[in-house]
Amino acid sequence: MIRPADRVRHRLGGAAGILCGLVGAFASMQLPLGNARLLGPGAVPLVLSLAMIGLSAAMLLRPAKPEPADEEDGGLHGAAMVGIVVLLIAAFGFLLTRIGFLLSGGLLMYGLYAIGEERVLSLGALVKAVLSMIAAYLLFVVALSVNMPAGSLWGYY
Amino acid sequence: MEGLLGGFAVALQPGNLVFCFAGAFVGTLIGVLPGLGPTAAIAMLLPLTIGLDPVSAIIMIAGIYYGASYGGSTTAILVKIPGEAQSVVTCLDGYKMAQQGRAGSAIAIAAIGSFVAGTVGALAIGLISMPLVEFAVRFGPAENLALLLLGFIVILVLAKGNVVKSLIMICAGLLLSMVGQDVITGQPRFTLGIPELADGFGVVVVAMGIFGLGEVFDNVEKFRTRDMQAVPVGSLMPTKEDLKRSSMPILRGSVLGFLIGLLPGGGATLASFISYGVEKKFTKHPEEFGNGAVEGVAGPEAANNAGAAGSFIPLLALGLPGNPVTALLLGALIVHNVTPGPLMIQERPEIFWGVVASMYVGNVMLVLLNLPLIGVWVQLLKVPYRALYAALILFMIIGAYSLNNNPTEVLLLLVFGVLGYVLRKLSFDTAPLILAFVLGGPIEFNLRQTMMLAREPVEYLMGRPIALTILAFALLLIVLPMFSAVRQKLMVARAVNEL
Repeated sequence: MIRPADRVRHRLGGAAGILCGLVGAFASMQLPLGNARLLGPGAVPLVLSLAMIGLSAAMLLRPAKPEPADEEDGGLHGAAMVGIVVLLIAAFGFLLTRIGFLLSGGLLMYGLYAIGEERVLSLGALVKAVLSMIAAYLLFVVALSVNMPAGSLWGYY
Repeated sequence: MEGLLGGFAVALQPGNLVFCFAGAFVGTLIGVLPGLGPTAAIAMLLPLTIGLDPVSAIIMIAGIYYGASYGGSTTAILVKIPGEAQSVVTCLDGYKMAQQGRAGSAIAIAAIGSFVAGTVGALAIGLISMPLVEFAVRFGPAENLALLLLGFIVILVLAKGNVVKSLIMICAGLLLSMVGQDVITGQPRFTLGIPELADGFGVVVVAMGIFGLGEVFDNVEKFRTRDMQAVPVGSLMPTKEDLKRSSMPILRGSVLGFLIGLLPGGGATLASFISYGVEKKFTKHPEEFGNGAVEGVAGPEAANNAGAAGSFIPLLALGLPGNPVTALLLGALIVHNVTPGPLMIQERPEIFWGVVASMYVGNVMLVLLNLPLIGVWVQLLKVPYRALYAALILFMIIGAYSLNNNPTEVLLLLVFGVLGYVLRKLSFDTAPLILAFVLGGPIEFNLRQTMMLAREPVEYLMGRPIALTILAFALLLIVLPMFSAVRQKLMVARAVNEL
């Protein structure tokens, strides 16, 4: 018995493969393809992209098979949590050189702990974030001499 | 044996002992966390080794590998959550033993089995490597290409799930490996004008994103449904009966595991599954299998450790990774400007033999260090994942940033993390993608070199008997399963007709 979710995954997987293959084929054709003996930079990627389109189309045309049941699917709530974590890491990446490691890292850690507690405002998350950043600073910056940015906003980066 | 003794001289240097210890300890720490196995552990901790000299770095990574494998077995026994596929079999009887109050005994047998297998593996590597290398130095681009293709075909034959999906993943991994400068002409490819992509994607960021961050995202999604109940450990001393019943399975598992590990695509997981099947055939107590048979823990645990040791041979001697873990190790060696292959034993013997000896030292450390610490690992299992995941994420993003002191690496890590998560959701196996990504550069290089050398491809191939034999073997691997599938269908059809 195929679950509707499996069917959707199957179709999405096939469609995504075709799309990636098309993008790859288009990008490869902008490069020199060379000839059979002297292959150009675009030749191998073009063959791979076409193979990907063919395989994805074959996958899409074949009926979906039941996948091993994902016994712990987190549903929409779980996916939303992942989305927020992704946004927090992206924000950290953008802020890191601007406001520095300690502040951007502190914000990230607060956000992650708050998600763990499923609360926007949490004193516990704040305490854990501060302690985590102190530990991370001592371990990485002081002990392992990793150069984490202090932040250009403060004028001394 | 001279090389192996030299390796022990390298591995037993105080500095390298510390790195081996640190790797085994941190590897166990990560491996004990449910859902995170050796691949994720190595991917997460790779950046830590960047500043080290190559020998120490590889010794530390090998320590992480063994530590994480060991940690995975501990969770398999205590909470029935295998760290990675290779510990799945251990769940079957290990957890049942734990439920019967024999968790300590199961963990101790797993440790003893791993230790014996590690010893057998280290000795066997010493015996096999040199003849293999003498053979492999005759390899040219065509032989290398044939060997790499064979590796892919074995991966496909053994891939879990859908073969078409695995092929799509291989194409995707190869395409990702082609971002950056062209291997022959140096022309930029698919860089979108972004200067940071001129050298292509780093293996550390790709592996850490897809295996490490992707795995964490997957676990974040399941916060609400994740509930762990560790069982009491009990006495760590196995009974005489347990030791007696485990001795032969451990020996069989060690030999079998090592031989399976040698095959590309083999390694620890396949070794553990086959060992379980073999022990089930050999045992005098088949009814106990699945209900807490000590042989079901001893054999597979020895086999997966010996399989891991065996899988180092194709990697170190031929430069051919057979599974995701060895693919990551290959990436780590490349990061440290070491090219694995036949010439490595001659040019960098300290690395080759140092790693082989450190496997043994690592196993001794795991037994001495981890048996007394089982109580600590059990406590760690009680810390909710929602509190631990933040530290794991911070660890990975600092690691990514420190590669080039560039925030773009953090964003790339995020992109690959999301890719890994999405691929899991779409039921794609990410292991072929990473293998293809790591092998993509050498495959394209050898293919284009072979095409340049071969004016008449068929004639050229006929003059390369080694390449031809490897390709014939690869073809056989594709045809044989098809043949047996057709035979099976015919037999079923005949049986139906007779009814």
